[in-house]
Amino acid sequence: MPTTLPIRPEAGRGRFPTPRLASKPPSSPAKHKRHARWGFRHDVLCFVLVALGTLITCAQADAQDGLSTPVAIDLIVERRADSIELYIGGNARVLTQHFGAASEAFINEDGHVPFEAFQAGTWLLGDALLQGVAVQLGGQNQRLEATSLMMHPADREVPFADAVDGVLAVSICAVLNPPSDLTLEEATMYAGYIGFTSDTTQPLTLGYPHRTTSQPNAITVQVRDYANGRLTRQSTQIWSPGKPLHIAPGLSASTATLTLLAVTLPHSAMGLLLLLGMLGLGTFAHTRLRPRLLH
Amino acid sequence: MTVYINRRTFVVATGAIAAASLVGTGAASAQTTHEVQMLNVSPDNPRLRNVFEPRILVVQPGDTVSFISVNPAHNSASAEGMIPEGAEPWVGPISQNIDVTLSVPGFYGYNCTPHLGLGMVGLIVVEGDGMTDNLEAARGVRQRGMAARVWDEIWTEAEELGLLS
Repeated sequence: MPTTLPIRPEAGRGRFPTPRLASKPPSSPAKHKRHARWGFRHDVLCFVLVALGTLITCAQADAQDGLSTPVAIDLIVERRADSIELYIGGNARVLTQHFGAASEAFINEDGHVPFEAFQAGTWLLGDALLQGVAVQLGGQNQRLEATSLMMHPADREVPFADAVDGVLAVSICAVLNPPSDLTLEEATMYAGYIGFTSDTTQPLTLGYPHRTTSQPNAITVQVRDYANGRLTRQSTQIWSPGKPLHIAPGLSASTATLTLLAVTLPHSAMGLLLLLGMLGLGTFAHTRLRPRLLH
Repeated sequence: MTVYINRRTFVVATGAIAAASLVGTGAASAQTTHEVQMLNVSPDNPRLRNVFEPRILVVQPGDTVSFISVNPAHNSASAEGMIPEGAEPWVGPISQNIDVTLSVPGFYGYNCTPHLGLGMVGLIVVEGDGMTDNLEAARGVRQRGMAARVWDEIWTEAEELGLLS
């Protein structure tokens, strides 16, 4: 059965080609195959385009927060079933000034890092570092307790990408034969924290340190957010004076896939419906309205 | 020269030898030494850092526990509030072995001084009369940082091993 719509004889008049508003049905198996292949390709194309669009949008959303200034602080967040861990890394002088911790607590009388004293445990130093920061999880105050703090010579880099790296970086045993004349400027400081809570999927908020001793200025922070060892979001943010740092958890791989499908499939179906609607309107205009207008 | 012994002498001699061997066995068990390694990484799970291996040890009164410094920057120190009344606390030097002899039955919690907050802790159970006397007190001690999580795991494991009853 033909699917072309009936055209009034006066509509054509030899000036306008007769519109073929819907393609004829394929008359052979080969054409059927071509149609099916094109349909499949269309679906794949739609999926890929929407997926790419979604990814690009997400990437832009994260990138918009970032600036070209060098990263001053590295933050690692590890969300487990019963606890949330936070690891902070950065130049020791920058960190102590930014967080407003008295630098005297981190050096000896000679102005050097007292590695020997660290053998008694450094969690109190960790607590002191974060003392001026209001920590919230999902809008509720969240207590974070220091697990350890350690300083490394800046020229001896240690991996600092996930929570396992974080534990190693804050461990006293991680620095063998430390120099006795290391200053805060020459040291990289790492501090680890843990807070026990039942819902760790909420956004983590770190208030701007209210007792900062540095000139109040924006500082670049690189954040890696993990859930049970899996990276869910990585972003570079600016921690501006007076403003809190929001660390929203990302999606796990499975959740992201489901979300992508949930976004993509309706897009694909809606696109198809929209296309059909436009074709219908075009047909109506071409066959009914245009001839009348021309008359 | 031939020496003859009568039945009484034989019985007494055999009894004496048996008693001596029993005493010997008892003395040997009293001097049993157990090893606990101080490690940077768990041999069972490379994601676990700073551990005592094994982290639960069951010994008899008078046994010695030898803490071996396999990796540097660790020590063993009894945890405050986590040893039985009358037991001697200990603090081992960093990066060195230490032997601790435990004579009072009970639960002995201990930790690595610099790595306490990271959960480097362990438990020794000295079996004997009154061994559970300090159990409640030991379990009630507030723990720092990751030690809270590790102690939860240890107490659960100890319960599964039937050590808490």
